[in-house]
Amino acid sequence: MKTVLKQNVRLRSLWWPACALALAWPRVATAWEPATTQAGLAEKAAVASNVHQVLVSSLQRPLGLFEPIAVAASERAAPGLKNLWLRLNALSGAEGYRPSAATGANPALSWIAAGATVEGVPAERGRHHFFDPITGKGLHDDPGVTGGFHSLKLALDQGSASGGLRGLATGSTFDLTGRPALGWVLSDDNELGLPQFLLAMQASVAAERLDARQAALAHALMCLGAVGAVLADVGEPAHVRNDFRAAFLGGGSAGSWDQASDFERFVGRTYGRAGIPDASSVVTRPSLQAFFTANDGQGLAQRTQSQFFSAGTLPQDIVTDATTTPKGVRDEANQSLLYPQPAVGRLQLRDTYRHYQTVNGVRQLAYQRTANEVHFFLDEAVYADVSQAWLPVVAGYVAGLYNNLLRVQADLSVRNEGGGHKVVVTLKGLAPGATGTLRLFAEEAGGKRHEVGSALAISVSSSDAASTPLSFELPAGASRVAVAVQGQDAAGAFVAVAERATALGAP
Amino acid sequence: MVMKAPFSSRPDTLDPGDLLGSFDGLVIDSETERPIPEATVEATWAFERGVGLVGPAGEKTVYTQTNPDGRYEIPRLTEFPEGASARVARFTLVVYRRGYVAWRSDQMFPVPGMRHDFSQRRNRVRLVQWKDSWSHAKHLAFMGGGESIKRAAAWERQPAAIELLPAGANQNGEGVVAGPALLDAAGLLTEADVRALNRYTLPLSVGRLPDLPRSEFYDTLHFQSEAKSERYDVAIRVWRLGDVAGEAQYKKLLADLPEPEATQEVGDASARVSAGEVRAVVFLVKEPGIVVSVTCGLGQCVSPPSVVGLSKLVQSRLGSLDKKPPMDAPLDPFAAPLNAAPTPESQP
Repeated sequence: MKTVLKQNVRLRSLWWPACALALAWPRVATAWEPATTQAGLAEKAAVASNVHQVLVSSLQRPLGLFEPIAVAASERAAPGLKNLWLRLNALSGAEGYRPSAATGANPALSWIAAGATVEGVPAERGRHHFFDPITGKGLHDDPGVTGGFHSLKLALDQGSASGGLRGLATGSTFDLTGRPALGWVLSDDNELGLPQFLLAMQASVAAERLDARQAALAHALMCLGAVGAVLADVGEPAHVRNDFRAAFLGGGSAGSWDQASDFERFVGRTYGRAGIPDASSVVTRPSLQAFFTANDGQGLAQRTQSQFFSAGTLPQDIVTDATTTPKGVRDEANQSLLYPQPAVGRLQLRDTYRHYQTVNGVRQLAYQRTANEVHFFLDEAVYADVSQAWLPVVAGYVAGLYNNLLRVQADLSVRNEGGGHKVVVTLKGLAPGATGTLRLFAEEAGGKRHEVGSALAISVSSSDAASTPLSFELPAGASRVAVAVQGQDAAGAFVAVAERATALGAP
Repeated sequence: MVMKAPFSSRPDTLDPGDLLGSFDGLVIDSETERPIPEATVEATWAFERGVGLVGPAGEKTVYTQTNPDGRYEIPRLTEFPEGASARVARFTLVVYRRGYVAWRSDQMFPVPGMRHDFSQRRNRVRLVQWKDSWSHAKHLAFMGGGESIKRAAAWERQPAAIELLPAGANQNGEGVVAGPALLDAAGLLTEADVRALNRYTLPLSVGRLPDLPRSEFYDTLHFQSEAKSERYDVAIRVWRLGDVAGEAQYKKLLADLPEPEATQEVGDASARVSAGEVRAVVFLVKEPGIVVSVTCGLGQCVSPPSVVGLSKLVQSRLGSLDKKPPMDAPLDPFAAPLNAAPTPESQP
């Protein structure tokens, strides 16, 4: 403990000069870059997932992930999408996810990547991407002096028009706190969260006008990408170790305002968007929450927290003298840790070369003995190993999350019975105890749809069972029929949509 | 603020380049070393802002094509992002020509890895010829790019979509979901037919229009000029509805179109339409109830007989569609915007 105390005293004595320097001496941050890493992860996850099959089979989009989906100009100006569209305009044209300015079109895959990217636009949304699986809390750093300086920098950056100085005075600017990532995903006021995804998916088949349905599908795909991006961020060590101060305000790179971390920049620079590795095996979890954290310890936040260090949660540097032993250094280093795992293992201190702590072939921590201390740190070798090993796993989790959100499928068929036509709907992929509401829509001349039937309660009681088929009369002249189901089962909220042409409609 | 460029100023030096440009280079075939003209070249500067948490803050994209010598030039960036933390973060060059692997200045395909041979000036883009064993789905995801790149590569969407379906399934959804076979307009008109119209030699991409979903009653074909405006595009829309519904659909189209001129020169009934930069012919074949519209930009169909000739060609090939008409068909399955010219962001 003497070392910790010594460092605290040292930190306190340097506190004010360090903060004063903060405006001119940038420090590191750690997160997946929205424009590159997040978009690439979303694309790899989408390709590995079932989204393509759902688009082809349920939504009758023959090109699936490559189907162009256009958002008409009138829909872009609608209240629900206007702000989102402004944020889409911030995206780069080089990466394929910026929709056409003229037609508002993007392939479905690009809408997903766009959602993953705009989840980080404006950048301060990232405050809600933290999640400590031990406490369940989000970012909760004590603002202190560093927080004050950070708020000042935000104010200077944004100007008074976006809350800046007034926000600084009232405390409404980013003060180094945020909602837990899981709560942010489930939040009603997150326009790219789960509740909006459920609504937009239903509207993609239920809205009266074709333009509205197209816009809703684009919105739903963006929500899918955004929810996946929040999950992906808990695959980044600083986000699950409550490490904003050191990781995001801690180091230096290209310029006085460039606060991106060495790790973030390393991953962005090494992989870009286009070079993100393919997803490893697609992860299956029992619920959306379990992708983040669960009793079995296999949530992504838990696995990330227990395997990797972040810049601000490293072991303290240990002062050494002639009597210090490697075991003593290790014990003292472990006592200084803020999180129980990963721990410092056996150390090689005979020489003054740089050494690494390696687990399963992945270098997770660098250390080096100097004349009078052992210094622990992260370097590019660690970044390279961590990103190479972990990005495919993160993409596998995100792919699994996409599958989970689209796990229930509605099967539609049209039958000729007794001179009339009936639509029969069967739901597949439901978990036990499923309940929900089913609505059926018919499309008439001009592409307009209206509700023609509903079932207030659907239910299944056994596992992996399909629902009892529900049958509805189909109005004469209906050229297409669509179904939207929203409900709840043991895995959480679900939505299922489907549509198909009917081959009906006498002149 | 401008970030440090991760590329050199020239191939023969380690001096860092200038992220702002200007840029120039040569696009060649990696095997033959010959210059590649009319390759699509898209240059994008990405802007960022943020303190601690960093996010996108706009961009500037410039599009050009290689000249007959395979050379391109990108002017220096003159528009900058606003805001104290705003910065020019990245410059990305994407080059695409059908038949080759897309070239990005930051990453490589099909073997992933960072690209290290990009330079600001005198850059050499060595395009690798496409191999059928490579994945179109992965290629499209790799490629990215803005509108011009997407348009040039639009033809790859269809093979990419097929790749991602489970084994045994096809793009009609067969094998994925039990359902009727979708109408297939492929073969009603070919790229050669379009090129023969006006001896058009520039690149054309072939795909489907994005207006309405393909179904067992409706399909489209779109020949999109990669190098020129939609004035050089040709598109057909086909409805196979059965005799009664087909006739009703034909009447509805005539009612919706601007000043149709009944001509009775193709099929059982036909009409010519001219609107803006587009000529069109709509015709009906009563048995088995097929309605076709052929739209053609004035750049291709310089005179009305051109579009009529195309329509007759399509009519002669209608037998290639499944001859079995549906038992019942929708009266108005899709209110397709026939009077609209093919859109730039079209195709699958």
